[in-house]
Amino acid sequence: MKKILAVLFALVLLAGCGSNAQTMVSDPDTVIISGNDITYTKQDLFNDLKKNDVTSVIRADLTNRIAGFEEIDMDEVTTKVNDYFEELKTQYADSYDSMLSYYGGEESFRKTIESSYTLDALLKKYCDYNLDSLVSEYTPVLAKMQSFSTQEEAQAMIDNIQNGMSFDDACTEAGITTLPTETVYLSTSDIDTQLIDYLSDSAVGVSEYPVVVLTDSTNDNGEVATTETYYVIETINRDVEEFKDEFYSAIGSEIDTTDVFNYYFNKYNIEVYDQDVYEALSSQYEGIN
Amino acid sequence: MDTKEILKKFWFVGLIAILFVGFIIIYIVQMIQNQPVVKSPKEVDGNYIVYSINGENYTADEFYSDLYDQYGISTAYDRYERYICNNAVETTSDMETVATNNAAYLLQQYGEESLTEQMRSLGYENADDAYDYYIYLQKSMKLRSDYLTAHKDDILDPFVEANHPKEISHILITVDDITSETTDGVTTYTANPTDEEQAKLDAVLAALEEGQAFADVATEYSDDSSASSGGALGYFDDNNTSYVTVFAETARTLTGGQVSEVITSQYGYHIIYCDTDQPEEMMDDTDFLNAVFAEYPSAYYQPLLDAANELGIEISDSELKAAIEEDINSAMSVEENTDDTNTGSDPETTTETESEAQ
Repeated sequence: MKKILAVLFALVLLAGCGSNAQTMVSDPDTVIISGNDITYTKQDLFNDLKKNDVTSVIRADLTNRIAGFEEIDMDEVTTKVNDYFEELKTQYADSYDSMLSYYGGEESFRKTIESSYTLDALLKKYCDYNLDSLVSEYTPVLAKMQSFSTQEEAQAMIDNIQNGMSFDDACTEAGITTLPTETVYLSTSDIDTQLIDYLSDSAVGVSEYPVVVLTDSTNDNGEVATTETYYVIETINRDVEEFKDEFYSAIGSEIDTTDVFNYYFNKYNIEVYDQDVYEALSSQYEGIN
Repeated sequence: MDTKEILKKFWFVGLIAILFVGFIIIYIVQMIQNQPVVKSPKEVDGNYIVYSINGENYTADEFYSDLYDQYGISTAYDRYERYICNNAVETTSDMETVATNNAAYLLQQYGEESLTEQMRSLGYENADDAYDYYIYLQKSMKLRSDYLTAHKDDILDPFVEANHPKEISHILITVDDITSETTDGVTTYTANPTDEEQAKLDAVLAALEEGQAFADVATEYSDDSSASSGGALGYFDDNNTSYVTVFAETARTLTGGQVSEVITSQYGYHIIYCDTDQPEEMMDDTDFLNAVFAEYPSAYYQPLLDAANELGIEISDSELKAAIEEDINSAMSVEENTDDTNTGSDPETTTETESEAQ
């Protein structure tokens, strides 16, 4: 008898090797569609529903839960969502209702927007937790730049600043009408590499000499011409703690939300028990247990 | 002790060893196939858990509810329709041939992994279900086309009268040098063909004059991509906006079997042929059927509802039933508001002509 039970146990173990873990809904046998020898149950519908894009549904739930763990100010999120919908009402006017219908109705669309703003808040916290590595990766610098086509013009502006003029006044003196604004420049900014190189280790203050950028272009005759552009650069601040919000705005579009979710999944130890959900999440994210 | 005696004495140990080795082999195969390792299903207070994070559980019921909000009605309706079509229409050998060929083509085009993903998005399990999908598609169209045939007087005839549907083909002779002139908003084109281009046009006209089949002439001479299918462009009706003006205006004038005069567009010379203008001969064209359904949604939904009644297939969930009925009634209410300007053609139809225009 013992031997028979041991064999049966081993067979069950073996059979278990090939099985997939499936979760069941309550009342799985509730009939949804029937007739003509067909019985389609609630469990059948659940299994079919999971063939759709489950990741977006799961992510929305996880975003809300993680927001709770991180104590995100949901009142602030709600205010932003309401402001957003007020703007849409103004923008769409008479077409507002049909616009909402296009996005699946106000309730559904509102959930999507709320999830988006909640994720923004989680992204900001992620940046706080990973500030050192983000600074190391993006080397942010707060600076202003003004370009000139001649070295003489650029040097004249530098001389004025070194003699006590502010950057803006020196721009005005040089005939510039649209003054450059303070901008956070990153190692990935869409500017010439010579400018990025300068900013990577520039001291606070104005550049001692104009930074030259050489640009080659080919005309219709195939001849290559080199254009020289001279930049006056004022490095305003290298201490990211003093312009953190601007830094986060600058890298907001650069950060992959996958990395953000990976971080929080590892932090809060997610464990998945449904095969379909596991396969969907583990194909996109790390830290899925 | 000989081997037989050893086996007789230690059979149990041997059996356990074989089962254990089998377990190891299966585990290794799964690892090689890169199948993820999944924990056993978890239940808490009688509820299955989809995942837990930081001690909080997301139950299967919550997951079902969230998925239902997003996809419930459309998923259930797709299944409902599939059941009805598959049971209401008999599978023919022609359907089997088409399904086999289309499934094989898809597998070759996309590969098993991609095709499985596509099949799952349609509610099936894997790539092997492509055959079943094409069987269902054909049965779905047969159900509706039979309904249209039975309702020729109240649906097909009014549709034909309003839209003049037809199937068309064309031959394009590309001409590089074309000048245009616009007068009162109307642009006319004049081709300045090379000797080679002219000779090609002359050969086409001679072949058609001789009585050669239009499709054969198109295959041999046409510069359009439709040449590989005998010049066939497919469904066309008065509402079609896919073609350049001179082409569409000429096509509208043609009846079944007619060949147009040579017309000139910005691409070159066109000769258009109307393959048929008989709706009975267009029943296999999904573009034609979709054009009818756009104007007469009842032609799409009523045969389904009739077949469901006949088969006794019903939606038992009252909330779901009400939601699906509401969607169907809403779609069918369009028919009451249909006016003559409602397009009957597929706005996505493109041809080489249009793609060049773009």
